[in-house]
Amino acid sequence: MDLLAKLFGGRPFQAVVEHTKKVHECVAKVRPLAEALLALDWAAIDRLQREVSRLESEADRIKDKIRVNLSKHRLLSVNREDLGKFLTNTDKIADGAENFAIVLTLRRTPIPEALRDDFLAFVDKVIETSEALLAVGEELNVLSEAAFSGAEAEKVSAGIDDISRKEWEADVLQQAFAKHVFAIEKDLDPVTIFMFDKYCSNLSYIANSAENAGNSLRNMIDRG
Amino acid sequence: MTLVIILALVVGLYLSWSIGANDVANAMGTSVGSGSLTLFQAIFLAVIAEFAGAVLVGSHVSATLERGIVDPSFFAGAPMDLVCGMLAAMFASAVWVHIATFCGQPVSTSHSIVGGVCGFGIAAGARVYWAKQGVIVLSWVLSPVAGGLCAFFLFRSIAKRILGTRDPVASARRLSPILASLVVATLALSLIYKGLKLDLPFPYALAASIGAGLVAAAAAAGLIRRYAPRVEGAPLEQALAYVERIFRYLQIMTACYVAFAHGANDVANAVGPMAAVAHVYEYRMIPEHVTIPIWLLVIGGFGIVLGVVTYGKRVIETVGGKIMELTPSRGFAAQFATATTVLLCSKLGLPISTSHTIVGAVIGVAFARGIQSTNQRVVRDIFVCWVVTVPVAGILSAILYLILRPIFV
Repeated sequence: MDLLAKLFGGRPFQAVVEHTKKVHECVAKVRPLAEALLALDWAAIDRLQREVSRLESEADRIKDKIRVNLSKHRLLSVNREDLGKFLTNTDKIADGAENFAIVLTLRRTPIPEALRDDFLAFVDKVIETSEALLAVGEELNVLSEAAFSGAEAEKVSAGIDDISRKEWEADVLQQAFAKHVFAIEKDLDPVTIFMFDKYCSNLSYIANSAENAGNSLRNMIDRG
Repeated sequence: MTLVIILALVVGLYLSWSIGANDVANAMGTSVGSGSLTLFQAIFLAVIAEFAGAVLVGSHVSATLERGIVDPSFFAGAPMDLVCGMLAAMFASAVWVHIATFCGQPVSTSHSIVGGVCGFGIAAGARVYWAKQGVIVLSWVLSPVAGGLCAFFLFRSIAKRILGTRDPVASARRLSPILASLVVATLALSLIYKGLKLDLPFPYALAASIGAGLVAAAAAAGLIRRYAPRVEGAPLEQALAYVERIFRYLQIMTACYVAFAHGANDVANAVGPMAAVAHVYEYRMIPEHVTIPIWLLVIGGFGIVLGVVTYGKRVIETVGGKIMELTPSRGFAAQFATATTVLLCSKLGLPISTSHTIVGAVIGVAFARGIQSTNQRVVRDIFVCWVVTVPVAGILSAILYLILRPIFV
């Protein structure tokens, strides 16, 4: 009798964990990109941009596979919409990383010496936010083993709080960087300021999407 | 022994063979899939448990099956007609179950024998008790629902009291003796109260079962203290994996329990009609009540075991490989719920399907958020089988009846 074997719809959470990991691989390229920018190594930026785009499309392929497997006739142990939102948001993280890389290749806009520390602090905090999301995303399988209850759920919930905190810190650092930019605006041409804004908006898009993904995960735990 | 009796034995054996082949994976497939048992161990345990269930608790359902479906008084003047009919019904359901097993389609042997009896009844022009049919149909719907509810609440409490605690290993060490005693006590109750026919009053039977449960609890606690090391300070992920290792042993217990309940419930499908044929042929009259002799139960049990060994082996292999999702804790909840539901229904004399009950139970665990993803199309398949099995077995049985009757009457 294949009846029992047919009853199971595979392990979709395993694929979701893979997707989350792949997305973070994209974000992990943001730090080398920022370093290349500071070192004015434009060749490295081009190379890294191609790598990020490749990783992003790999993540997309995993996501598409998951979406196909989440067809309506499967009963999931989480809310289908919440899982969908989680995927959408992690997907946005990868998009943010890719767009940041692309913007760097559009126009050679170096960061002045005075802004470097603030810029790197902001970049690192954004990466930390994505790392914090990866940490909870990887727990999805374990969460399922524990039937989304008790200690494991509390642990993940605490991890989600951590994402929000890091996202807020990233916001603060972004504002500090922006203030610093405007403090020396006389030395900068408008297009450069415009490009800095582009850098920042893509980076904060990563952090915001990570926070939203965390909230979707919280909903997945809370409503089955 | 005359031709008819030999024929009844052969057909009955064929039917019990197909029952064993068809359903054994329900009991053992999950344990093989989760790595709790090797294939050889699973077959070995299934053989013992199925046979014990068939012989010790087996005889309760038969009266409902052969007498509640068609009006036996119709055959009072022509007992050989009933003999042919029963043979046709048995052969039809055996063939249908065999075909279905071969195609990997889920069917219920109970449903198919009911359809078979119905089929020859209509072909012979006897009155069919449709109201009784309604009760039987209701039990088909009820059994997966009951199994599902039972599994849902069982898994929910496992999730809350063991998997969801801060120290799941400590919780499992503390609570698994209780779960073990629950399994043993239920099994003992069904054995003592009805199975062994000791005529013990219920309170004594209950007390004896609780005693057996306590012994099991003590044994389990001892084994855990001796063999299961404390795991302290391990990450939650490792702790949960360790808890599943403890649940393996509980899952093996419930797997035997399911096999036992299956033997108890389903042997009557094969043996009941066989007993009726033998009785009618011998006394040339329609009996008020057929008592199934123990040797018939032994033959039925033997047939089931034969099915397990020759055909069920392959089925366990295919199914077991595919259901890694059902970890021991989930398997335990689903199987315990299934076995209890099946035993309860067989006590009440309701013919129910083990396959459908275990699917109901697995879905119950899924609703308790125990399984990442379940395929709801299988639920649709079950309904299709409910609808298809009875008429197909019925038509087949009617045709066989019309062929057999001119030969023997």
